[in-house]
Amino acid sequence: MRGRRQGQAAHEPIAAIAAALVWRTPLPDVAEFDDLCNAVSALYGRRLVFDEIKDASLRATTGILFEAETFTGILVPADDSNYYSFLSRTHELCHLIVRSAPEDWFPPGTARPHQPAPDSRLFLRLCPRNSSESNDAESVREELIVEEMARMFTRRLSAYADTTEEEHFG
Amino acid sequence: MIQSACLLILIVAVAFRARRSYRKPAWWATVFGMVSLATYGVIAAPPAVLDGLLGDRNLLTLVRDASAVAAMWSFHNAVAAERGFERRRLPWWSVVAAIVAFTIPFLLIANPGHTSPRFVLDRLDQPAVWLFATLYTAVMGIITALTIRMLAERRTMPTMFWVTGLSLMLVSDVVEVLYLLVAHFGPVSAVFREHYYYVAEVPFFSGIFIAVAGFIWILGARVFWWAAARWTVSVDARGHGPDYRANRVALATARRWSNRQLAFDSAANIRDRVKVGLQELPAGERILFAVVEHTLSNKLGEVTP
Repeated sequence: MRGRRQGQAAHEPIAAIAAALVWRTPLPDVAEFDDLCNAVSALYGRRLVFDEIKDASLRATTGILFEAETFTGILVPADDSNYYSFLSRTHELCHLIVRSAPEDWFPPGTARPHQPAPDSRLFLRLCPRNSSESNDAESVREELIVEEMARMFTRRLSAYADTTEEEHFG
Repeated sequence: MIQSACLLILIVAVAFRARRSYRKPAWWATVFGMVSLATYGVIAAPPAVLDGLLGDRNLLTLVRDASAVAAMWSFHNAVAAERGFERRRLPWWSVVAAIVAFTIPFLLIANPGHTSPRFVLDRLDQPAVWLFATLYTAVMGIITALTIRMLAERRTMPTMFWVTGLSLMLVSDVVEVLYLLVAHFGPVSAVFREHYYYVAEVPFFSGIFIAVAGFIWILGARVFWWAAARWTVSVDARGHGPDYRANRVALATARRWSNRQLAFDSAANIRDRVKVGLQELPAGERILFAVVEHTLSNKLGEVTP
């Protein structure tokens, strides 16, 4: 999806929506990335398949979401560092959460970003830099929400929390 | 010499961790360890001077051994808490009982004399000396073995230091108990006693040195991430407003984000801008940024499902 550089500018409604969706996603108390994938797969109702694209010109694109006949594919650039790739994968999963979360997951007074029809070309969410799609206000809003969500998930998954050794012995 | 090096490391570790960690068993383990090592003498205060402060009847030896047991007991319970083995925590009375157990024979020693490295060697004929030294060494060995058993269930860099160090200490405990047994009960010469008296010291102090390196590793990691987080936020701030850096650090503090998380967020922002040509890093910063990214990726491990 489109570059995530706007993510840090998230204002309160964006953060509120992101927080609601992140904390309503059912995960075990001690969750890992696999648990998030399973939760999103169950929520979205489709099997998820990750792969990497080599030598792709996806400089400002976090990844590509596409619907295959029997699974939903998530492609991310192969050249990215592991940590950056992790954020990209989480970002793409967050698009699926936004797309399929029950209405009552959204805080009162907020709405789900407008979603394209399943048979629309836009359902393939490839949003390269300078694409006309990236100028669409609803797409921009969704990108802000999912990037905020992706970073919140890294905290919920404790991916970069202090180790227990640091907490006890540090 | 090796005692002084260990003591210096412990003093640094205690001082650095005091404010944040004084409620933690691990910090008390370091404090007791420091007290125990200090009985070998601190600058301008050799053991004889310290013993003189305690009445000049060799109580310094008892303080050394009691604080060593308290240190090992605290470390054991810290590991139990950290690894989630709450039921394996040793009760408070166990350390009291252990210390009392070897204090009683110690107080029964005839003519304990002044503090001396040869204290046990020169009195090993006395059953009270043998019992005191054996009980102390056995208690240390048992607590050490229990701690190794918990640590061995997960492999991290500090754990490797601790398991290696404690294993050396356990070897020294076994050697010491065997030596005491043979030297007290066996038909051995004075030369034998003299020759093998210090044999357990090298693995014991080497073990302490290596185990303390585990704490130093953790401190080093903390310092690295503290600095890396602030540096990445500073570089990230070039793409934002003037208050960005201060606001991010304040937000991270308020929400108790780790320094790794702070570095992660800013590193992703920087990489975003570098990818699309909105930000360039000078050669030196590119190397530094590569180190931060590499370390962030290593921390994460493999994420591909």
